[in-house]
Amino acid sequence: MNKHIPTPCAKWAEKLAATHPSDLTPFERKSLNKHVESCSICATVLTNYLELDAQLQNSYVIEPLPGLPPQLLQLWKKQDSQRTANISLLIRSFYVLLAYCLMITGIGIYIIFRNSFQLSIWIPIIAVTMVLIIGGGLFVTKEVAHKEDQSYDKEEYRYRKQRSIPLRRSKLILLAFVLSVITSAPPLVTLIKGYTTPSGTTTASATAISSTTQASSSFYNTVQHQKLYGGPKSQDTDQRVIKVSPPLCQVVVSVQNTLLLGSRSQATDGAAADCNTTQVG
Amino acid sequence: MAHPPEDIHSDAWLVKVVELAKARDQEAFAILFDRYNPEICALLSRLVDSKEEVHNLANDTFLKAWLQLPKLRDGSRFRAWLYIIATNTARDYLRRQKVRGWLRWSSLHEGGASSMSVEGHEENVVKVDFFKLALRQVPWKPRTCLLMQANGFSQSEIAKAMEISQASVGTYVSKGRTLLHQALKELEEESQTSERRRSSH
Repeated sequence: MNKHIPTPCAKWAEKLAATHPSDLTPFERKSLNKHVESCSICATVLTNYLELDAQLQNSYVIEPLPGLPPQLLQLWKKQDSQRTANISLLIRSFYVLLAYCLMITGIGIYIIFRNSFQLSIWIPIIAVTMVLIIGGGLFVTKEVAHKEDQSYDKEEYRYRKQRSIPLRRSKLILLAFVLSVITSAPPLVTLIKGYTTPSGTTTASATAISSTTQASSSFYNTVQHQKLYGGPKSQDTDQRVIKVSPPLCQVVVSVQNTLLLGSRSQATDGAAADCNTTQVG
Repeated sequence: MAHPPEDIHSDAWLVKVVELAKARDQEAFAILFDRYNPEICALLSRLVDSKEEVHNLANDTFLKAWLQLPKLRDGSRFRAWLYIIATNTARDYLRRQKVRGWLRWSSLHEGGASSMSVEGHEENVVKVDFFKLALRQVPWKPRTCLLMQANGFSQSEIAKAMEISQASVGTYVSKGRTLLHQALKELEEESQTSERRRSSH
């Protein structure tokens, strides 16, 4: 190394510098080796080159980085939170929308059939409360999940494994969906029961639903009759009286008019005034 | 039927991992990091002095690699591409620090030799530092070519990574070796002269 590198033959200088096996073709390598055998200067140069390469390779033993760069981990965390926030916002919005659809369905079913079947006013109230709680809870989970992520700092590998599976959030969404279905189930079950149980009150409605325009007209008439005159009395079932406050009753009636009866709403105006006490048969 | 485990050192496997990392898979990038971290640190240790500098530059290298990875066209060239990022990062750092060229003898022992763990006698430590100083005398392109060739890259791989012709790589390597050897010789002569002065005093 300390010796001065002699100047190699000009023709072979670049080929001598090509120490990697794939730098030269087999033919070139063979001819170079042949030349090096015959030329002592080029042989010295080649030895020096190989020594230099060895020194360049093995000069230092330095500790590698202990882990992934902290800036990179921060960047990943930021990207992850952005990505999961976007996805979860979509998912959460979808499920909240679904929950509210179910809620409205529940209310609608209650409004339509509250006089036909023995539906308790508490069913839609509970459904609304549950859906509101679930809907609100879903939007709160983002912050909770973010706090959970902070504990992953300690072990980056575990963090990387866990961050890709927002399990708790998925479970919450599933729970929300199940609860939404459950809360909407009582009106539906009662409705189905009403159809399957042969009773005086359900026959008219069942006929009305299953028939065409004429039947729907008779259904309308049945509902109006129940509103105005307290509904047909059934011998099989006990009569219950639910007191509903006038404003709530007006809201229910107006929703009913909008949803079901459309232009024929003027007929129910009288009912709103008369619904301080509504009989449910 | 169970598939035989894939050879984790094969090029095909590496390309697959790089492709996954390009698609922003963090696990895949972590695998690449684990694989090339020692190599990159060793490379950088030949260009800068202290362990802290090496680690800072290695951090920057991997961060840049993650950010620029989608731009990498050929996954099989990842290693060469990473080397180029590392050497460019070191060059920018040295430019900023204005430490290119000659380092004083005193700073050599304070910063360089003390922080590096080198196998062998003290003589080797001095030799290693001579080597580093000599390497700094070599212009950037020949130095990069030389370092990459010493780390097992073929001239065609270096040419592709540096976007120059293969003939240029050959020229740079040849020039780099000559300059490195000359610089080493000068440094050794310098140290011998200073030792003689000390002994005469």
